[in-house]
Amino acid sequence: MRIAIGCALAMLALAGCVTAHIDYPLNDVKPQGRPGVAVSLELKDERYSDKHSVATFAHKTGTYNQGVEFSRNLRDYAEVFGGAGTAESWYIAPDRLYWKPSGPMEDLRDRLAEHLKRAGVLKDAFRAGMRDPAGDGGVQNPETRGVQNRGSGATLRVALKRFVALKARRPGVDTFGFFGVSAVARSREIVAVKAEWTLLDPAGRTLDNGIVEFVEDGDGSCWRAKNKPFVLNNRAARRLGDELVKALRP
Amino acid sequence: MDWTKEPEESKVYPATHHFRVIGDETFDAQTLHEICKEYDLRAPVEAGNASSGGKYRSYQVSVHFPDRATHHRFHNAVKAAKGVKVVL
Repeated sequence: MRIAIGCALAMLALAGCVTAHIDYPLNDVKPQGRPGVAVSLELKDERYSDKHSVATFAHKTGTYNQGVEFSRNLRDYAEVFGGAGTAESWYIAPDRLYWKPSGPMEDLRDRLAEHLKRAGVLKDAFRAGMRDPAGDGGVQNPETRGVQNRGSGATLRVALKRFVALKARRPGVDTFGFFGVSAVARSREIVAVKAEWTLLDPAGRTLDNGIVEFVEDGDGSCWRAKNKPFVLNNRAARRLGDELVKALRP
Repeated sequence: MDWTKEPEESKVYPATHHFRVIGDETFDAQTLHEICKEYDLRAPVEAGNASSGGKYRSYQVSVHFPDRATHHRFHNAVKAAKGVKVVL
């Protein structure tokens, strides 16, 4: 079901559009942890043909319905990105919305931090400690294996799981975190990713942030994804997770 | 906010943008240094990761732009440099 939803959302992530949707309930990822939801946001800036952005927000203690509300709050993020194109480009449904951005996305981190603070969505986020029994940031979590092996959902799931698991086991951390895959380029011969991450405390103050990037020689597998806005192969998805974990390591 | 209008440029610029420039073996990092001389650098050009096969290398640079036109000019200049495969 969720894979089907993921595929549908990937279809919706048309060039120039933004989608925000409930990516998956976190209690499926960590059954022993507290329930929660994750919301991801996909963007493409048409002015730069090789740029895409994906931001994922984890609302860790929320229920699915709270996640829906959280997703609706993302509508306000249009302001963060500097505009929303035309009124016709809006569409909102219970579990998704998308719009056409017209502003630059590179200042994503600071603008989102400010907006999250104003939107009041920080107070519930990441309150609960998510257990990481393997102690490896989710690397060996069996739930990580067997996920959809193509499409933005796969990358986001793998990287977000590791992000959430790693940060949540930091002692004393009561934060809201997100990472945004701010740019992706891929072809038969090259895969390159730039991702930004931020941790905020419940008051919206930035605790820590950074940028990770990597470049890979293509293995020929990415051509199948050429019409999709954000797709990495498995190796690149793993590499993204590796780079995030490396950057986030306490 | 009026969603039907383009945002005012003053709301999104000036802004600092963080670039990752991916070049192949024909790319000379000195070219990037030369281009960057004309701009307000917030972080100098630094070598980043190399690809697994060693064919590509990334370079990092952060630039502060006063307006969108300057941003586009920088982006286009870097993309046009010999050996540059991707600008992220």
